[in-house]
Amino acid sequence: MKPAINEFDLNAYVDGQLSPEREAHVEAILAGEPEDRTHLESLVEQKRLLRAGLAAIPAEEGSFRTLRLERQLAAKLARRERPAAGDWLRRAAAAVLFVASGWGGHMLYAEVSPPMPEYVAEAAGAHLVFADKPLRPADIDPTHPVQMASWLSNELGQTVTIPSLKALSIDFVGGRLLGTKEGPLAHLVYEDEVGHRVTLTIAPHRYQGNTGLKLGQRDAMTLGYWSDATLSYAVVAKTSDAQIAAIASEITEASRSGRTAVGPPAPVD
Amino acid sequence: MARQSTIETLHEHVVSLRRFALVLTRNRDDAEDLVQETLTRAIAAIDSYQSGTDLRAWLFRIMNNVHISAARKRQVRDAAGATLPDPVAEATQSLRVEVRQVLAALDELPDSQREAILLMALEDMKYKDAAEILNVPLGTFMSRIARGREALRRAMEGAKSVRLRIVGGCQ
Repeated sequence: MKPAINEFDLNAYVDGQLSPEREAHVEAILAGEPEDRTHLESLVEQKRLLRAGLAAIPAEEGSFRTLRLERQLAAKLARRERPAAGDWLRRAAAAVLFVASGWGGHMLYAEVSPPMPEYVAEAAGAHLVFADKPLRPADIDPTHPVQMASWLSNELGQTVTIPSLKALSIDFVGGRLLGTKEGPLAHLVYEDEVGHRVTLTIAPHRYQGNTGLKLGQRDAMTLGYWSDATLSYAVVAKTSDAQIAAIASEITEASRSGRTAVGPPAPVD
Repeated sequence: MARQSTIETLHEHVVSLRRFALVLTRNRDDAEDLVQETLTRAIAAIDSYQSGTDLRAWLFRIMNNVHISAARKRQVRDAAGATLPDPVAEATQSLRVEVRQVLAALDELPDSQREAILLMALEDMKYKDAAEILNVPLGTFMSRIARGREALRRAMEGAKSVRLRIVGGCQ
């Protein structure tokens, strides 16, 4: 009798290669075809026996020369990953930490770019951004989201909005421009009801397209970073991955729907 | 973070490569040579590794290439008839009879099917990556898996019926 499921699908099912839809389809057929089920069981058993056999072959111990080669390769990989760790987003995130963790923080990141101590490189960047202009024009109120957004957009050369995190009971406190060796970054500070601080850093990027959220840890801080079509974002706080992910998702949602932070009540003259 | 985990997993990959090499060559010295040559080439070709991509797949791909060229040389040497103790058979001596049978049946398969099945038994990876490692189109890889496993299944059933007959004969 011709089997109802072809060999390719059956093997792919055993190896967990099918999409959830295809898997459900195969399972539906299997339910009514005892012969195919027996065949499947024999394939599963075969793979299990093979695994057991292979695992029993002692392979932990190699020669000393192999171990030396392994160490060499590990060192090369580590060196090779440094430039990748220096990709734009990570450097932006590190710049945030650099600021967030104060002067001691420069050591954190110094290992990533060996030629120059990190604070020297950052100093060069800060000079580029700040040397020829005041830190902040006198007429800009750093706690006023609309004024900040328009000034930061101007400095960054991209339209930046200051997303509202009201939905999470997190308020906008203030913002500043950072000068880093990557150029100017917008640095926004938020605070929750009990005074925990969250910072959001926004920077224009020079490539096409979006990236998903990535999470990382440094010095008990959790950071999440991602990009949309034109801007890159880094959120930092001393909190859990889940919280950072929630904040990140609220920020993307707020940017999409244009929910911007509102400032303090206008002063009554 | 990511950097550390790559280095930490490298050793795991090397163990896995050695296991793969042991089954391919059935000779501990040849297997160790194969692992060393793979690592040497990986060190030399480090620029071709894109960080963030599957390190394991990259290493296995190098090993497969090394193995293909080494196998050609070995054919000449093996013709001289050197027989060394088989590390796989040795190691699996104490295992259940079915495990030994499936390994013995695997050994009887054509190299192309054996490698495909071995890779899927050793590592949980996508067919697409495994096909790339073996440098064959996805469809070819899938048919090697299907044909190889079918052959193993027949061999196992054959072995089972022989066992039953022996048992039956004793009663």
